[in-house]
Amino acid sequence: MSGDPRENPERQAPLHGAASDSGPAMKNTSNGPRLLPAELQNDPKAAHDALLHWDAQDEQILRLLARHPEHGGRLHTLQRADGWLRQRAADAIVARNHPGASGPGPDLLACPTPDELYDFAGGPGAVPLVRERVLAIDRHLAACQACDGFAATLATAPPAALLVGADGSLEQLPAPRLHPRGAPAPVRRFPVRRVLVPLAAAATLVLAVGVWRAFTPVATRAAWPAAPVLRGETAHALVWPRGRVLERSPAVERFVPALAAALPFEVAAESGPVRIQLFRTAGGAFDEPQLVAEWVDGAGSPPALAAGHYTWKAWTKERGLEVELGSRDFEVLRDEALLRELAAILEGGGDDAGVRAVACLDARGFRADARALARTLPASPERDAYLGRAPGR
Amino acid sequence: MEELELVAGLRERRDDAVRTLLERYRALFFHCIGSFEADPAARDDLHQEVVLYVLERLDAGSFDPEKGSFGTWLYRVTWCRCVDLKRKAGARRTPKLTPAGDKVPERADLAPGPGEEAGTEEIGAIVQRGMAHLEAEDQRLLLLRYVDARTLIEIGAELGISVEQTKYRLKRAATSLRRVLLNDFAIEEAVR
Repeated sequence: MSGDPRENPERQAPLHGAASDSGPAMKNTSNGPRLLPAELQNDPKAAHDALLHWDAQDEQILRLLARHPEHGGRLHTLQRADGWLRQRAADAIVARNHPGASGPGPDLLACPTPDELYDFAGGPGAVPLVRERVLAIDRHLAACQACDGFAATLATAPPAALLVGADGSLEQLPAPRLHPRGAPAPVRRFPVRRVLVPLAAAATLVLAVGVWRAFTPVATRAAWPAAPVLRGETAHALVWPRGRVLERSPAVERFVPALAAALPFEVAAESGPVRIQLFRTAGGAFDEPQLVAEWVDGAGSPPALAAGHYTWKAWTKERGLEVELGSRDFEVLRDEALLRELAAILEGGGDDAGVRAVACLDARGFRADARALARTLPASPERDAYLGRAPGR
Repeated sequence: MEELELVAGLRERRDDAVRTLLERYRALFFHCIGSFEADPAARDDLHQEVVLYVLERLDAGSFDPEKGSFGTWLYRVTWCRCVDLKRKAGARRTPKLTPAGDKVPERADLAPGPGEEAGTEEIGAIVQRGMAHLEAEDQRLLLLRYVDARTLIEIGAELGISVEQTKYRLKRAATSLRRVLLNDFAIEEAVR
């Protein structure tokens, strides 16, 4: 070890050069694994690791853990234990500031401003704070988990800005030269073994997979679309529509009559009436949204929407107070080719024509329409699972 | 496009300047935003929010090229905005609602209720039992940091280690405590 006070005490110094772990700031957040939701359900060790490093998990993982019959209680206790420790720190800060106590400086329980926290945590271009303020913020972090977490996000330096390519200057860069000017490029013999042997192996593998698939009996050729692997927020109250939506045009009525009904607006589990406002935008960042329609869910219905960009906002009432549920964007598109494709699938007939049409819409990103079409199909466990799955992000 | 030209273009809302900002600093924006949001859709929303805020700050003359580069200023503004928005969202998630007609006291009673007090005592006993199973150094670190509310500098000085070592060992001690608590859960369930 080099004796550098910033070095990691748990690691050996590398053989050559400066210590690799003597960076500007060691990350004091957990190095615990960031998990996929499915892993939590199937792997007890993954769930244990997630609990052990619960403060490094995102909100979706925490919600999954909290809902679990077994892990939920454990998570709650671990969080309360952390809260209890931080409350002790807060009590100590209050006691130190109590009149008559001889405190070392102006302690605080109120959170510091983001600018102060940035300077304290040493973000790029941080301005040194006076020592008393540093000590006060340091002490505050013992009592406040949120600020502690914010400060930890500055442990890794940001990437450098992309300086080429943004204004076409990429083309102006000199092309890399593989060989020194003047020196002839070496002539090499065709590497038979290095190229042909892997090619032959790959061809055999492809052939084997093809033969296996051709002779494997398949129960049904169509399958309901599988849920994509998603991480992150899933509890956004405004669920559908989102992403791409087909315009309800005369062509829709002709080709896919099941989609001719008005687009349903779905809000997650709200007990009270939901007020919805629909705005139209030009799709740009600086456009002023224009109010298109406003209705109360259940007492009104959305209008027919022309192609374009839209944003919808929703409010509900909690104990007499109106609470905003959030906003979500979607885009209404006219896609005649897709409609013809859907019509061909549906006209082709077969038991699974509807499922294939749903899968087609889902694969093209028209997932709100895929759900609308799925609702018109006969009920089945697969259909209900499809309609009941979390939309993810 | 040079930095100052970019800044002037952004103030005039020139398309080429906005495009350059979004492309050149995309990685910087998302490095910062990624620390606050895991959900890609929420990241995009936050990105849009932050870019609009950056433009507002530029209009207000917040960027001073003599104090540092545009990228550094941008990172600070982005990070501070993200913290602000997360704090606001946190406050919104835990609203203090009072049923209509209830008499609202002029000053809130900050003292914990009886149920809360009992719960606090119970969790305190669990934590103290867990800490008894930790190594002496881990116990000492947690006590200094959380019971005495000592700063990392003070703890480091007392233990004769650097601030970074103190941070690292504190994190390790907290993880050890959680491991003990989880182990206690497993034992309790096995006994049941």
